[in-house]
Amino acid sequence: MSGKPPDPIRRGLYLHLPFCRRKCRYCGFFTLPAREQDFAPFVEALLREIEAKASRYPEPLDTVFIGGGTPSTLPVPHWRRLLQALQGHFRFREPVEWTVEMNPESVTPDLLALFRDFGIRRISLGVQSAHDEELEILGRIHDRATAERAISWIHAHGFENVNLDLIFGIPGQSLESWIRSLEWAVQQGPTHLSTYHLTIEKGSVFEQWFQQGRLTLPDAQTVEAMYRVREEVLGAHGYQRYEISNFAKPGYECRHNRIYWEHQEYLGLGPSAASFLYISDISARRWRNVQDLPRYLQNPCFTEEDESLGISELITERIFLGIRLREGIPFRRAWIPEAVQPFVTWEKGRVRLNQDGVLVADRIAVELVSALEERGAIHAETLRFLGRRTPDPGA
Amino acid sequence: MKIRNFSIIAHIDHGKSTLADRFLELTGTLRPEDMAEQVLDSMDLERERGITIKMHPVRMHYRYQGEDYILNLIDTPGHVDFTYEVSRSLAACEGAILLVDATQGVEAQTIANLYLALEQDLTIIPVINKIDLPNADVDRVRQQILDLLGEEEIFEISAKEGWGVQELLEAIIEKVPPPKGDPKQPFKALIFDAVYDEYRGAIPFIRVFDGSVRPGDRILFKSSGKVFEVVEVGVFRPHRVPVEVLQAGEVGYLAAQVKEIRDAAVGDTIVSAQAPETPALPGYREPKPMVFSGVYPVVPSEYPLLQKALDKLKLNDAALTYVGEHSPALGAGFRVGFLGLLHMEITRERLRREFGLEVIMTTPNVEYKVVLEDGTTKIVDSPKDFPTHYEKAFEPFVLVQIITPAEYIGPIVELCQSRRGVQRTFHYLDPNTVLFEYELPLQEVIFDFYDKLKTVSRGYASMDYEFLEFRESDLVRVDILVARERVDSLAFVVHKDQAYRLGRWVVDRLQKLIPRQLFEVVIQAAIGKKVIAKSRIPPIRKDVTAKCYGGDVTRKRKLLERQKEGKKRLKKIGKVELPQEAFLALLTREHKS
Repeated sequence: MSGKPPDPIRRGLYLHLPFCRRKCRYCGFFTLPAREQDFAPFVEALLREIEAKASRYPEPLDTVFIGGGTPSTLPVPHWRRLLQALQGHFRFREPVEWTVEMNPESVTPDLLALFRDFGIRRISLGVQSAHDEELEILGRIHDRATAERAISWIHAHGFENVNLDLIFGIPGQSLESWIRSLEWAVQQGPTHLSTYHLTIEKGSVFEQWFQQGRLTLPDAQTVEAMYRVREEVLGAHGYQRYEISNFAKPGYECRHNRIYWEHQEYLGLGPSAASFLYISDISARRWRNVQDLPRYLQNPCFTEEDESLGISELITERIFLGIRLREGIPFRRAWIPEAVQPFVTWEKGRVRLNQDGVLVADRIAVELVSALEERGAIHAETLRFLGRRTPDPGA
Repeated sequence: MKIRNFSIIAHIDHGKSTLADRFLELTGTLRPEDMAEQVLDSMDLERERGITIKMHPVRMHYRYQGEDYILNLIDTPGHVDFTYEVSRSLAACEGAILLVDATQGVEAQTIANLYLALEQDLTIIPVINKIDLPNADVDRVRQQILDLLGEEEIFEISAKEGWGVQELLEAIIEKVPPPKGDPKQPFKALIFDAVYDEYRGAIPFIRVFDGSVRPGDRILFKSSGKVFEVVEVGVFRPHRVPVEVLQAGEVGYLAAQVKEIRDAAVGDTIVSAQAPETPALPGYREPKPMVFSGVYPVVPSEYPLLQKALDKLKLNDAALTYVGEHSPALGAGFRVGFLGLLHMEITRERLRREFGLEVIMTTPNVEYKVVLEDGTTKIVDSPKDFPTHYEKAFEPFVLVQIITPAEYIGPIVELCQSRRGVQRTFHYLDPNTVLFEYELPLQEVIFDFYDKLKTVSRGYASMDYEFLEFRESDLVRVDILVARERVDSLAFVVHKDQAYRLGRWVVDRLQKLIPRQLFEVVIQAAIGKKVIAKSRIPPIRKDVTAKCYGGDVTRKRKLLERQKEGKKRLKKIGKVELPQEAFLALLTREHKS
């Protein structure tokens, strides 16, 4: 047995803190209203889960990502217990990348100081737009000034590794407005930028509005231009696109998120968090924690979706996740379907998306998987072949 | 014994099988306990649909005024596809019952067969059936028959209730002349039907005109010149019962180890091998397919099974012809020639029932005769083979008879004219019913004409047609190109005047049916190099998930798997992919606007 891919396998921990002071209109995640009385029982349950999972899955962690929800709504004392528990129960493989997601309105010097004390070096801040009207439409509770203040505090507390989240394709947004948001974000001096095209998520307010015909989204051509202009603006400032929606300065790619796209292992804690662990080099398990607070409090180890993945599922995932990355995936040149060729480049045994390909990445993935299937190549050898990776950029 | 040979001419559902059953009962041919309803319907396909394509012949015995009679009932297939077989069956008889439903009146198909009977100089006995029904309109139907035949004596019966059936049977004895023919002359018989028996080969059903035939005789088939030795002769009771001899005037069968059904062709004459110069009876014709369609197994891997099934069907269906062909969307299949649309439908049903095969049949087309520039004549039965340049082209024309309530004349005339029809005759059968005839290209008739006729007449009009001749037409082949590739199976032949309209229609349909691809797809209709219609399908602009993290992977994978599965069902035209259902909708061209 050649061992689990890749060699050595990396493992990330994702911890979901679901509380939000207000749910954004585009959000389809599992979130809960931030009510003071829920914090303590929730953290209790979480601590139980940490303890249980740490003993069940003792392998060392390479990254930790605490997301939400709005993790920064959780008060400092709860945070302290949480971080103590994590660091006390899990083992880590240095250098560990710790990231915490924050929203501008809940960034406080106290919280930042605490994070520093616990060795957290990376902050991901959901700023979304530089325009107050757009923030209002999105249902955000911060404005641009709040975001700028939060960033200055973050920097003042010595965090140099900062990501800013931005959204484009907002109702009423123009290409110019998007470019101004990008330029504003660059001026804030982040090391990393996530730029997400607005997706109409199931269960979101926008979905309702969309169905009622109340949502005027930018047209397809504008969205296409918004996708393309990112590279121009951010490239000029030294940011490189390393995944469909993510840009970073050299050396600052998010190692935790790379774990997803590289098909590495992750353990999810907290309600609705997903976990993915290999059983062997050709099989894996993915499950999701329960998405319901009372049930989570009752037993934080309840799962909702639990599936075994075999060769075929793993190959499909490896292709559609891997093709999102700048370096693409190992693929035989002769097997690239004709229709796909204008959207990819092939070099040193790997196929990767070009600028045009980024816009049709999912379709390309379908074509590539189908091409393997047509050639009868859905087998363990192909899976292993696809598992060949470039070295961990942060390791 | 004295013999009467007769037939029943009736439209579907007018009660032919029920009447035949009553005759069997009345003559004691079957004991009541052996009677299943409508005994003579042979294929279960027919019984299930309640339509009789063709009944078995039957020999009945009846004593009338102290004399014993043999009554041979020879049926005629009740459909336009089998006009030739009808004419041969009628040629074996001296009389025919014209059976008309008192609630329906005369229908087009009945008239077509009546004309055939009159051509053969048969004695016609007109009968109005179903007079027991509350909505029977005997006076109106009487008027229609009078108008057609000028015959005053019309029998009124209810075959279901048995009313008037005995009188009718006796009228057959009185009115239908006995068969002529000389038992001293050399043997001469007409084949009016044949079946294929797995053990005994082809069994011709015959009417003996002169002489006699018995086991051990050597016989000669006039059309092929082949000689066989008779193993058995027999009559229909209604099951085959061997007899010692069949004599002039009699109806029966013979077995002579005839290997192939085409050696026992309907209409052929059998004579004694000792007198090979005995002239053949007039009217023999080789079965000729008129309608052609691509036949493909729904499951592509069943192609070898389809081949075997067609080989077997051919053994007892002399009219079936087929050659292999290939379609990009449907894979390997056959181009099959049929007598007409019903024959096509029967073949589909037989493939299903007897061989468990589901097949796709493409839009039927007719056969064309094309005189090329070098003077040679080419027969084309597949549109893709129709030449771009030619001297003259000919297409089959048919004479269509339509009977309709007068109120629908307008839309029907409009329909016929839109299909290049020319009116030949027009007259009232009764004050509310019109019979008229149109000359139409067969291609127009087989292309949803019947459905349209039923639609514009709310189901009241009936039609029938007979082949007239090949006529010169200004025909063109329209090619369909998808992403600049010619799609053979979508090519069609039309009159030049309709090429633009139909080309545009197909191109528009394809534009709606072909999903967006990663590249722009151009669809064109062209005559030779000249593009007559064109559309574009713009490429997919965007298909990408913006956010894809741990919690999104399973859902995303399932979505891609569904897309991938959907893609598997897509058929390829060059590099363009489209759903098979879409392609089929076009190949079977179900709805033409």
